[in-house]
Parts: sequence; C-alpha cells; structure tokens
Amino acid sequence: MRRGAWYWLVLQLAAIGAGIWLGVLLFNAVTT
Amino acid sequence: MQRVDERAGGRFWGSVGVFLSLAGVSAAMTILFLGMRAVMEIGGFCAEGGPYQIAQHCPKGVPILMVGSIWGGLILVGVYVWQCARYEVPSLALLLWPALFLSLGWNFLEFGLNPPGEGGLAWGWLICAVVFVVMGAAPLFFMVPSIRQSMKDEASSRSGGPEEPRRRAAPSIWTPPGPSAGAAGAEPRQPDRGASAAALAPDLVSALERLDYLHRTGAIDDEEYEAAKQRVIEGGAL
Repeated sequence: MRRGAWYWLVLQLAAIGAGIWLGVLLFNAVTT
Repeated sequence: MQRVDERAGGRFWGSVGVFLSLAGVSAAMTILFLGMRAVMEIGGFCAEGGPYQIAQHCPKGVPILMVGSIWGGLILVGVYVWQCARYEVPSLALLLWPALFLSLGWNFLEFGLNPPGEGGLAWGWLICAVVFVVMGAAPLFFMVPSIRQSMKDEASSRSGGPEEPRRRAAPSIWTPPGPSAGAAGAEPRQPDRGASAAALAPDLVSALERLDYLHRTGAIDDEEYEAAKQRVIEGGAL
C-alpha cells in the first residue's frame, strides 16, 4: 500500500479505538 | 460531489472529519452493543412510559441510549461516508455492516448459551445468533478476495514487474487514494503496456477481415492468403 493509505488506516483504527472508549465511558456515565 | 485538493489543507480537515465521524460511529455501535447486553441480562425485553402496567422496567438510561445510538449512528455513518468521498479517503464503510451484525450476533450467542436466571439453552436467541452471524460474515467472504487483489495490484504496479491482466474485482473496501491524494503518495504511473496492443487491435482485425474477403471471393489463392495473413500478423502491411 502507499504511504498515504497507511496514514488513513492508522488514523481510522485510532478513531475506532477512541470511539469504543468514548462509548463505554458514556454508557457507564448514563446507566450508573 | 465536490472533491478537495489536499495541498490546500484538505488533508488536515479530512483527517479531522474522518476521525470524528468514525469515532462517533464506533461509539454508537459500542453503546448499542452494551445497551443490548443490559436488556438481555434482565430477560431480553423491557418497557418504559405509556398507560400500561409495566412488568419489566428498563435499566436506567438504556432506552434513550439505544434510540440515540441507532439514529445517531445512522447519521454519523452518512457523515463518515461523505467525508471519505469528499477528501478521497479510503473508506472502511463496507466493514460497518459485518461489525454491527457480528457484534450483536455475539450477544445473542453468549446469552443464548448462558441465559440469565435459568439453565439450559435459549433457542430463540441461538437462532438469532445464527442469522446475525451469517448476515455479518457472508459479506466478508466476498470482500477478502477483493482486498487481496487490490493489494496485489498495488504491489505489482509499484514494483513495475510483469502485471497479470487486471481483473475487474468487486469494489474494494480498502482502495488506496489515487495519485492526487497526497504529495507523499503521488507516484508517476507506469504507462500501461496493454494499451498500445489494444489500440492496434482494430487495425489488425480489419486487415484480417479484408484478407478473408479477398480469399473468399477468389481474388487471392490459398498460398497468397496464408502468406499475406502471416505478414499482417507479424506487423507488416497488406
């Protein structure tokens, strides 16, 4: 893959990770 | 669709837009996953509001989180796809379907094998698990070969080695951006060797057709026909 493609892959994996963390945080904050 | 040139700062805003929208989609799916588990832990159904006597109340905050995550997630998927198209970013959008159905299918499987408060199996949930897993996994079988093909094409076009004839694969979920997608990724394209052969092909075909016509009408005999055909195929004139 091109370097540009690696950049977007890493960025999007980071976004998915951040989203999961945020989702768990929000869920726990609202339900407890 | 308006496309934005990365050299004009598009890469920064593209990164921000893609990161925030995909993080939002991911958060919505996480909340839906956790909300579903919370409802399954109390038996799989619950109710709030309305004029009826409620047998099973919902866990605190779960109804609003579930509704919010479904609608918010759908809107954010739209934003994510739009951002990817606008900034020519390789999109993971096609993986969202398997991610959703496999994650929810996992809940059905886990709770179907160990239903809360009772022994045995919950067959209703196990059937849902099978349906969800099939719906989520089936598209992956079609996607994986196309991803491998696109990565192989990319590798062979970079090395400049002999290219096998390009197969028109299904649209890949991970199509790297084209040369315009960034100064770092911009590489001069190798001229396509198949193109010159393709441009010559109509001439060759028409020459062979004319030769065949002359042969059939008796203007040239078998020997002359074979000799002329050989010359045409080898690149000579008629």
